[in-house]
Amino acid sequence: MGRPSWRAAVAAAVLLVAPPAWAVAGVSPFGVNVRSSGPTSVFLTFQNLDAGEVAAEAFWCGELQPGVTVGNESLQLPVPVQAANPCLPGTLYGSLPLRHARSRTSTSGAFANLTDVMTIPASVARRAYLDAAGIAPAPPEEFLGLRRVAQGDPRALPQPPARRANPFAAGIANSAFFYVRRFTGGSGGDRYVVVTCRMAGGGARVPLSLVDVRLQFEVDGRPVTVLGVPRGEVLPRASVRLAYTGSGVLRGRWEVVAPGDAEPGSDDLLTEATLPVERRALQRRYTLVERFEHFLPPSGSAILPGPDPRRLPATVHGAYLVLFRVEASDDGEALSDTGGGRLAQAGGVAGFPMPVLRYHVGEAAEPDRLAELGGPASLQLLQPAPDAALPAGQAAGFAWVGLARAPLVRLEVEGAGQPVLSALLRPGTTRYEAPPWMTAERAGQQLRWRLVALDAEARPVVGSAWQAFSVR
Amino acid sequence: MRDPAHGPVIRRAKAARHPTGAVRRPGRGVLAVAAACGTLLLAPPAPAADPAPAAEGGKPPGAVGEYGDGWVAADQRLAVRLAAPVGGALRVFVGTLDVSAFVRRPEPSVLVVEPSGPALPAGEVPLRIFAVHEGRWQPVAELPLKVLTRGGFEKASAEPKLALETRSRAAEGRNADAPPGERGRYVDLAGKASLSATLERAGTSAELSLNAGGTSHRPQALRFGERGVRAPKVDLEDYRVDWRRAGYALGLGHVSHGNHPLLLDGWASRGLSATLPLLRGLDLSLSALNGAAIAGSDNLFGLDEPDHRVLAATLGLELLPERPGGLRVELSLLHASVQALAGFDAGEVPDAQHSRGLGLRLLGKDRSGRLRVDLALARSTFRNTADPQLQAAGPLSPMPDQTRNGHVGELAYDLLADSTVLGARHPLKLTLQWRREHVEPLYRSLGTSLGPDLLSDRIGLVATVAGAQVELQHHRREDNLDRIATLLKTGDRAWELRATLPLPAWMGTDKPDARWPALKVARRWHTQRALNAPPAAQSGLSATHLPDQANATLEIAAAWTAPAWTASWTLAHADQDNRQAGRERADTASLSHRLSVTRQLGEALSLNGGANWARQHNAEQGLARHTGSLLLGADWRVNERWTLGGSGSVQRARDSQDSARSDGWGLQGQVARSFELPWVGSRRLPVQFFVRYASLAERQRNRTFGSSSTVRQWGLDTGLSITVF
Repeated sequence: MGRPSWRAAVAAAVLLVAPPAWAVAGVSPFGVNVRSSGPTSVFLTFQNLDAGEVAAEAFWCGELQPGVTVGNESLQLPVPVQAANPCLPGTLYGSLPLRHARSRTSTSGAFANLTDVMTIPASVARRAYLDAAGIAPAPPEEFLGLRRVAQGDPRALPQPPARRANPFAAGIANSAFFYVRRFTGGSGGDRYVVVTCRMAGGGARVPLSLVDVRLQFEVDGRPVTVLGVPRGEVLPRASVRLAYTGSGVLRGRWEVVAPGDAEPGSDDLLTEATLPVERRALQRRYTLVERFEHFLPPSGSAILPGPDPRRLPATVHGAYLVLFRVEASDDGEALSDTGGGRLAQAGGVAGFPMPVLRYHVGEAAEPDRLAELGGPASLQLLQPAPDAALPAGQAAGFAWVGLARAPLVRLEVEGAGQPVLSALLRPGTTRYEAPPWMTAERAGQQLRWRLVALDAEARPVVGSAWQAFSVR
Repeated sequence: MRDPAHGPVIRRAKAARHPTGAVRRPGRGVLAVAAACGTLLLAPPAPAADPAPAAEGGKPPGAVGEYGDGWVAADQRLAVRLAAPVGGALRVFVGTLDVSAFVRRPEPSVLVVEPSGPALPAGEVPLRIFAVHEGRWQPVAELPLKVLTRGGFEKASAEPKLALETRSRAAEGRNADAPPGERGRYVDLAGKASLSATLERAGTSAELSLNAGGTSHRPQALRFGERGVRAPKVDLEDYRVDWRRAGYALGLGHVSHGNHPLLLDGWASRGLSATLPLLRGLDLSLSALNGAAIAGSDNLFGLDEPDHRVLAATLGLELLPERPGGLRVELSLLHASVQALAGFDAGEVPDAQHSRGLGLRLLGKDRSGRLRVDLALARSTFRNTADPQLQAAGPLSPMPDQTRNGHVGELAYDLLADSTVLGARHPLKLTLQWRREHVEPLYRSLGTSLGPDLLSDRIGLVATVAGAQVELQHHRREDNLDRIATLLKTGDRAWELRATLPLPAWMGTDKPDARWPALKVARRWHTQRALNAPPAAQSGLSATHLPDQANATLEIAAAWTAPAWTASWTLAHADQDNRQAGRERADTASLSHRLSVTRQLGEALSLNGGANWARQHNAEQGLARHTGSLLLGADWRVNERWTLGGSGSVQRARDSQDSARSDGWGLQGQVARSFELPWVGSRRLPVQFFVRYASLAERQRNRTFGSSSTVRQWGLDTGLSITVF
């Protein structure tokens, strides 16, 4: 199943050569294309950890010590595991923020590994770009380039340290930068493992990763993430706005957490590819609403449709969560060797938990609730009969018996949840003729009608159940 | 009594407006006559006083409303004088409410609407009069009518809601492989409150909306994901207050601001916004918003943190005031600082940032509306500010300010507008569109998601005829605009063809034919490849790292809609051809089908079903993966008290080498009972009690990793919900 290449062979050789006593042996992948103008997430496996060896901090730097890349100047081979910080002082780009720390211990066959998600913030990529472009820092108080701080201003920033010489453009330095994770507690003392980050466009040849995810219901053209809906009502359509790197198929499930279900834990909200393979099956499952499969082209952003709103439960009161469960997809750029040739699929990795949609099903609005109260036993809706089909554009007759003692009666007709017609009637009325325009533009539509008894101040007292009819 | 301004001539209803301040109630004389007559002439099937039929074929006879053109009270009697006596029974509608039963006709040419108890529907609604003669309905008049609420407002509503709930896990079970149940059996209390109110009077309006929720179990709290154990159990979800008068507007709470695509584009957060009309055609909008979407009550106005705010102003000028929208220019200013905090309910990779920017936007269209222009220019100064989490491994040098520009231009021209080239019945519209985006490297503005280092051109042709739309677009894009030698430069080329065909309308005669689907087809070809070859020694990029990829996608969606059922089928196919050196065989293809059906059986029973099948093929690995799922669900409203519901699902995944497989199923069913509890006075509280059983199982096996697991779990949940109001 593996993808044979000389780099993989070299990586495997490095792994085999490194004895277990030397603690963490390497990382897969050891080099990745990343987006030069925004964030990227990559699933990594640090292989063959020593017993007691644990991950410490992780950080990015722009340059390695000259001796580290001897014989590997083009960075096509793994950088050997180092016993000291391999970064050139003064080239630190930043640490992996705690909010994106997703490393987990993992086992793969006889290997004790650490899986990690390298989430590169846009600010780190920006530092790398500035260095690659050889842009000298500007005074910090410049506004729109209109005002310059005089030379010698004490706030002027120090120049960055010189980087490796670039033979092609004077003053332009190398673009690759490095992710370094320190391990401690192993038999060999501290160890530093390096991943090479190659500055690319963020599309093809970059691992498929999610870097911005927004779930929302569309209500009157506004995005809403917390919604209240009356019982029995179909929810508005939902969508998910994605920013991503790479390309490939994003697949997964829409699930719903119903009242009474245990709430999802922090690991349950992560995408499957963010977790080690053996932990993916342990993510808690909820009621399936719909599966999805979407191809994401290498364009960086997409709007995907949410689940069919008719499948979202809305008959039982309570708070619901809609979960966007992303399964690991088979992305060639996101494979990670966990040791022994076992490749973990990691397309769809993300450095943050997926957001959720919340909705609360409550009691129906007053008119709907009336129907549940039930009319008096003597009240019968006679015409149109249940599921009758009335001709479009002709006056429609309604008839009923009962409600003789109500001070006022209101006949209501609605379609698609919207009022179509109502009529205030005097007590004792048992027939009503609706105007032709009620059905004129509604051929093919389903309507329903009912009667509501009102008190002397026109407040609803009791009502019949809805009765459906259609227009042909 | 008649309005002397109109004299004896009675006009058509639309023109029959009284000047402001005219008599708002019908004259006492008319009412006295009406009362004296005391005859209910209108309630069908009462015979008409005048046997002459209503006007036929020509203009409606018309009428004059003697209640004036101002706002009338909800219980006010409305007198209407008809242009001429009308035969047949008269039917009178206020909006969609038939009030004919409460209409008297004291004279053949006068009718009086007397609500007497039921209030007229509030708001601006037409008062329509029809004459019904021998089963034929003839319009007589349509008059404007503005009805105040019972409280004397032009519009007033208040809708408080409070629901209290208990939910509990009464029993559960799981096998050894299942994720551990952290709580076992439990009982939680929860509540949800909301308020929405609207008041409108004399040109001033105010609106309020608020949502809050609470739970006794902290991990279910609204902000548990953000604050953990410090998350309050009762919390404010969102709120908004709006005030408007004569073009002035103030908004507080969850508001949004900005329509500049490069500077601030619909930034939605908690804060304050204002819109001020200054001079004729000149307006100013201001906003101060939180730097991220937030929830909770501890930062009520959203402006507590000075380094986490977005301040913006937009000055708009209509250069052609006589033709609003003809030519508008907007000048925008942005001053924003945000900390590295993810927004509420957002998944993102946040950064600490500071940006200031200036934007200009020009929107215009010619007099016919065929030519439309939208041009946006922006200049922004941006830097990343200190983020403590980024400095855990040591201090970082401050980031320099970078001032960069961007522009977005969009042009659309209707080559054909209502052309009869395909026949007079099917006017053709043909529109040419062009959009250019140019954003310099390192350009960044906090209020927009448009990325930096981008040059994009999109040109398209859109044809619309007989409800169908066909669209052809070509897109070109490239990055690394500064042509930095050690950075990869990527170029994209894409063609896209989309068609939307309303087959039901086309195939139907007098109404849509439900046997035919509404059809959507989209075909897209996309190539992306490296436009340079950075030296490997300086970039780490070798030939095999350079992208060269071609994608072709096809999507067909068909949707059938009938009164009692709906169905849809979607096919999606994607093919990826990798062409980069050394990876020529790393090609993939995917195909998926999705089917969905719903059936409504009367008001009581609804059924739904869905199926999904997908295949992914990896040519390099010679591996094909199949996934499929089947879902069935039903909701049955047995009667007003009882509701039953249930659903079941089956999932299955396989690959051609049998290296990984999974099977799963789920079942859930619930029964809900609605009843009422006595409450204060005669009020009764709606209550719902439910019992829900859910069970699922999933078996996974991965031969590559030598792992297998079988998860089985079930739970029995109960809950009680009381709607206080």
